[in-house]
Amino acid sequence: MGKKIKWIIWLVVIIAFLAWGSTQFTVVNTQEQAAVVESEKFDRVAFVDSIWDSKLLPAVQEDSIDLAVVLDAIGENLEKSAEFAKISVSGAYNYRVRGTGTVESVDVSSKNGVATIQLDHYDGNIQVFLNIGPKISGESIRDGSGFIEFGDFKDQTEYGQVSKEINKRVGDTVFNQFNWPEMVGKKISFGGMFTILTTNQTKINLDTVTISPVYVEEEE
Amino acid sequence: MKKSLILVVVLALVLGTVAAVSAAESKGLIYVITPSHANPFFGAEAEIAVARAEELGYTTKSVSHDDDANKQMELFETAIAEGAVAIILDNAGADATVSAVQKAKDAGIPTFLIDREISEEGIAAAQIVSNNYQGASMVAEYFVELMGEEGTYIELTGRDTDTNAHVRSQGFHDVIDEYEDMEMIAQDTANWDQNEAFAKMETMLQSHPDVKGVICGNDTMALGAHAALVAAGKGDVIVMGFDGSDDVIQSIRDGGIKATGLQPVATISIAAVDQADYYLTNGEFEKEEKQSIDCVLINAENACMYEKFAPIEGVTSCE
Repeated sequence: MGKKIKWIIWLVVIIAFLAWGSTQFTVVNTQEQAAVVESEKFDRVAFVDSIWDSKLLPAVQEDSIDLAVVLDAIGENLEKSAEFAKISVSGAYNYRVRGTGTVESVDVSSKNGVATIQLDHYDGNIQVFLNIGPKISGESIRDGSGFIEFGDFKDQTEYGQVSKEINKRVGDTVFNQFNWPEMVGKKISFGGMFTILTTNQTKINLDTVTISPVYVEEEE
Repeated sequence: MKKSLILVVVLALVLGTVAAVSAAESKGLIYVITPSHANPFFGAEAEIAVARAEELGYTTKSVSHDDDANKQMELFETAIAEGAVAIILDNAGADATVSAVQKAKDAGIPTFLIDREISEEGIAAAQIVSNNYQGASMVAEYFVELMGEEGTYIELTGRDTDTNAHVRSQGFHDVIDEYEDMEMIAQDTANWDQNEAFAKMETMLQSHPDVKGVICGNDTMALGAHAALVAAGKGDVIVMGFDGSDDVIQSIRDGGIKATGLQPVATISIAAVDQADYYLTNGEFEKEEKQSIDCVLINAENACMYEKFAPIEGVTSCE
């Protein structure tokens, strides 16, 4: 009797050990994975080509909001402007706007060139800056576009590189479009996006907005 | 024989009763699985998730997989065996983790990923991650600005097997490489490690004594690199990190390290638990699976306003 019990206990222990062992190891073929990643390498230029004329430009030219109206709303309070914003999962307020105004000053000492704009039909206190390249920072254009979503991409890098490619195109175009220092005092029209960050910000900046343009034109 | 049988039955009854009582008291067991808490970043994310889960009425178990996918699988099996209602996971590898999360899903347990993505969609209940690429680009933009858009620099990268090491490096380079007068003179991994960063920086300084800047894939490496530079009398070299740890925030306030990208750790851990609770209460997911939360640049102007990976309420100026 005693021997039989011992035998059963041993059997149970061995089966349990085998069952446990079978779950401990997974085989991962890293070479295969690397090959897959390489073959599916994301073509950011092709992607941006595919949206530029068909979706991005129309979104800004035809489906954007008068910047003066947005700034008036922000001047009252941020929430008031929410109806004009695309609020990201990170809580950033992204606005797609257009406006006309006079170039007050131009600073191209850095590659992140900036023009200050006196906006028409606006007499509030928010200072308007326009990124004029050749380098454009941030993700305003992508996130304000309304149709480029994180979930549509494989990962953050692809999603981020879309923004970089858009910014590169804008920066090259807008910077080379004019001799910017000579634009001071001239009237321009523009369309583009800007962002107000809220999440984990201790102080939300509502004193200035910096527009990343999608297009800039000189007004006659 | 009879006696031992009775003993087994009694034990089973007692254990069963204990389990039933604890289940009745709580809304269920939430497992929080992260890399080693020796890194304060992971310690903080686990601590915040646990606190939130307990606040919402769950019992919790917080364990570490030590970046070992096999150990992670064991922990998943334990969580399944213990009847966890949800798992909050900062995973041990984008590809190797898929099978563990799938196993939990098959057992009816949703996994809410924090901090790191996995390589497949439709398996995890949510993937809530810091936008490492955005954060790295943002740090790089500030790095280029402080460097005056020119000069030599060294990059210390994270552990090669960690997806975020690559994402951050890519984010750095997609910005910096656009400036032709920025020259990377050395690049090496210090495996996220402070001591290794110190040693590598010391060695690199032998061949590159005039380096102007050092950009690091995380804060612990930035601390190591900065310490080596200070020891060599080169404390004015521009050093930047990534994470937003309290040690680096203190260094920024003291005029040492120049900047870091603060990961929204608190925001993400709380969101993961809240979304788990929403799912367990309503039977449906609150948000889309992939959620990417932006990082915040911390520099001398705002460093005093942050601690424990979150803004300090009520502090709006460092002057």
